[in-house]
Amino acid sequence: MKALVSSVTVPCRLDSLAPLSAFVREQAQMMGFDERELSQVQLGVEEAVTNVIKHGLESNPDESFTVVLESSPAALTIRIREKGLPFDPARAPVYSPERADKDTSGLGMFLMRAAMDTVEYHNLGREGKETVLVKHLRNRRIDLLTRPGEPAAAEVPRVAELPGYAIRRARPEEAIEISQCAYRTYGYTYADYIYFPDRIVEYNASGHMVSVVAVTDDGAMMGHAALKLEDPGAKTAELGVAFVNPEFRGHGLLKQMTTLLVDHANSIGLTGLFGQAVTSHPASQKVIAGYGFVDCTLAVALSDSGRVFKAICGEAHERQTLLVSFLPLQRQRRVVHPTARHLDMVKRLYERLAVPFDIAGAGAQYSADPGPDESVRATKDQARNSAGIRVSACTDEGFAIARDQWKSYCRERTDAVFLYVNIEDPRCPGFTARCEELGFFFAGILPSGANGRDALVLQYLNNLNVDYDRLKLHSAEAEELARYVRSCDPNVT
Amino acid sequence: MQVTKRSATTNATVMEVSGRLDAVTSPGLEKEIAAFFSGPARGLALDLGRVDYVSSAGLRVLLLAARKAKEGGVGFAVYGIQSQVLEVIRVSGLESLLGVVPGEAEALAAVEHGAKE
Repeated sequence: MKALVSSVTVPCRLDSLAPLSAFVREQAQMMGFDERELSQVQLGVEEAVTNVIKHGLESNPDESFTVVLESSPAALTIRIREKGLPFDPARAPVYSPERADKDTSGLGMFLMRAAMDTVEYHNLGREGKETVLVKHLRNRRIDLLTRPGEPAAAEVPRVAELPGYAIRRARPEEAIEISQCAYRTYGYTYADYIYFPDRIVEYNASGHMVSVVAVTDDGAMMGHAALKLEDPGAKTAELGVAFVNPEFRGHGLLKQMTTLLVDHANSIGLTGLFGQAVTSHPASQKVIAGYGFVDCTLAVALSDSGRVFKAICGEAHERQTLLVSFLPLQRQRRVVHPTARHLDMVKRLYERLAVPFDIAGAGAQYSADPGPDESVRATKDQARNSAGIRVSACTDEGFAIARDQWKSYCRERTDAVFLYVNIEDPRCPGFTARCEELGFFFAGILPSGANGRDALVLQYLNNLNVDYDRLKLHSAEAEELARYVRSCDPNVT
Repeated sequence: MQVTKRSATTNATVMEVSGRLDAVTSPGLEKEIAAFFSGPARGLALDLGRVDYVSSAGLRVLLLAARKAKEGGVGFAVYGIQSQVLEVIRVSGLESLLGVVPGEAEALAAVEHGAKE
């Protein structure tokens, strides 16, 4: 069930709009979008495309741009790629209905965002830029399919002995049970895709996710865990989406599923896995540490775990701080360039990870292959209302793009912005200092976290305060990291 | 996109618009609007009953018409709007600025009233 991809190259003329719009509409209609959604998709495409024609390509009829449609069972993704004038969403005017009688600038972008589920701008370096529009198919959420009145996890008695079972890769037809299992166990999880069985199937087929299940011989779902990859070619993956049905807990199923996933990660040549554990209690931190993961980043206020839950139950939750830990697999020696300010902490984190590394001396040259990707990649996690910006090259241009992206996230009232700076770039110290002047502060390190290169992780909080005293951490090392992060946080008075 | 005009009252014209109001077709309506307001001063009621799609380009032309009416001291209203188009107008917060009313009778009353103000 691979995503169907079609692409068209379109001349830079407004009269391309009608055939393009009809093409997109047909695709979306085949996928099952209703009339209202079809109209919204067309609106999103028109606003994005007119923006590209008028502003990006300055209505030059000799130019052209490419529109890529990716249709999957769960969503339609539309990518509009062109090599026109650089566009800075942070400097784009913001539409305001109060001023609409005099000034309607920004109305197109306003409507684009209203019509689509996600709108992102990607800077592709020399390849130009890309506007990405995503529209999800509705009415496929598991909580809408599950009967109410399911017993709460605490009320379910645990089985004394496990029945016969198998641990293996999940099958597409099991996606709905995975969703139900997640919903019954936690009611909500750290990302909302788990509520959509179609997305689980889709992510597994596309290589964005590797799902492993524990299933009884009778076919009952006992638990699930997965690797989550940013893209199918990524060198690291997140270990997560882990849950065991309450009645089967306490028998080591999670550990067995994790072992199978680590084996798989090794077999596909991943350089490591990372995990994220909540800091409201130390239980899951201990579990993940038990698998050999080492704490490396304190992502302050990263997760708003209540957001999805809130939609269902009307309950509000505070933002969660997450402890990110890393399990190195096949790692080559890296030369890293931290700022003098964070040198000791970075060194300690690398030593604890027990990966081969060298701290570069002053005046070191960039000897490493910069890799195929010199772009700045920015992604927003709508469910968490946080964003990540990954910077491969610590250049002036990279800084300008990252800064503008950060500004635009702030204007969208994104709560937290994380910056993954390539620490293997000798220019990393200067870059870090410039980001710290903007209000970013140290979060930790993440091996292979900056488009394949090791990352120094910085974080920015948009009008949020963190109560560091309430963090419940599982080890002295984690507490030391938290103290250090706190000492760097400019919001702490 | 097509436009037909008729005199509904002694002081007001109804302009029936049909089709799409997008970046390609809206300039056509803009010309009609400009021509209308360069003629003798009359109120304008826009019948959008057969418009099935509007984008920012279309909204801008509707706003332009509302502004020209105001400048010329004549009444203006839009009516008969389909749900998907109405949703776009609502989400943009333009209902009152555009003088959105349900049907032709309300539109002509609003145009009449607008001219007296």
